[in-house]
Amino acid sequence: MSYIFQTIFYQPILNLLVFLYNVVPGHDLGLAIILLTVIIKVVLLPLSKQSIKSQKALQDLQPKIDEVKKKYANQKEEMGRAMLEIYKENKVNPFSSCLPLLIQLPFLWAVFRVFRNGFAGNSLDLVYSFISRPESINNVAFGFLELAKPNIYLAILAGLAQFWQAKMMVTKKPAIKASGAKDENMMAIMNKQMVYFMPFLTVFIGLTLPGGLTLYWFVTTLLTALQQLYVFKKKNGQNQDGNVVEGQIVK
Amino acid sequence: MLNLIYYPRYVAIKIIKIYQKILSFDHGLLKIFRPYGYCRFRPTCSDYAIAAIEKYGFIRGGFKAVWRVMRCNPWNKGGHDPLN
Repeated sequence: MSYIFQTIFYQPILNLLVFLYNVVPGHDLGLAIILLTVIIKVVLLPLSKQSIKSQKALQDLQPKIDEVKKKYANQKEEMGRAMLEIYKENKVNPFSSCLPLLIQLPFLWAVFRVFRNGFAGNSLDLVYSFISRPESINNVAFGFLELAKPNIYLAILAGLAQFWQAKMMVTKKPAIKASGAKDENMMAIMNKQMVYFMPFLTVFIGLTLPGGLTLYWFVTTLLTALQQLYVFKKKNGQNQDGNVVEGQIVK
Repeated sequence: MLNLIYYPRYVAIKIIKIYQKILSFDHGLLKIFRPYGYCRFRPTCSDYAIAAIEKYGFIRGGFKAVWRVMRCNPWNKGGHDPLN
């Protein structure tokens, strides 16, 4: 089982990283990690684009959703069906699907393992024969960042990026509050948690991980935030032209 | 001895429940990222899997669960899909 995992998921990612390390000018591991992150992000682009779009569309539907939630407060089954009805009426598909997620999971786990293990010991034994195997890998990025040890600055940067991303998702929400503070429902509380709690968690987890992994985390979050910014900007622009974009349309 | 035959389904359900707590965007902690739900079916794939394994056992229920996850892809409309 672990052998299959290693061959299918772990080894390709490790090799890609070593390959990037070989070709990147100055053989800089930090640059190689950033490049690898960008590549992974681009591969997953279609999935994340769809999900950001539909998240946005859903926030615009929030009042209707709240109404249904109140109406069927005690009937879970009924509530679910009514919600699906709303989504259908508004041509929004809020859902992702389990299969792509379950396929991604081992892949993400492999990315995590590659960065966590780093290049200690004989991990370079797994490099394919057609990729030139470096004598040793320099763990210092840009001449000053030690990537094998936890790095507090990278952890804080990752937390800040997380904060920016979550904050943008929440504050771009149109003002829909009807009756003041009473309306601070579960959703709002959860959003607040997401904005303030998650960045802290990110910093604390980041502090325990090798800098290389934290760097990966930071770049991923930053790219997600930028992508989100782009989607929101584009959406607002189209609204001015009178075109309403509503997430993914149910076929 | 009779209990032994129920062992696989017991373990499988436990594992799915742990998945729900830790990894699932529909049930556990990660729900805060997807407050509107993730799975395109109701009941969700993991709830469906638990029910299927409870009712049909590890092998037959397991196949039903796998088939449900296979259907949970971007080309499927999703919706209400109870176990039968």
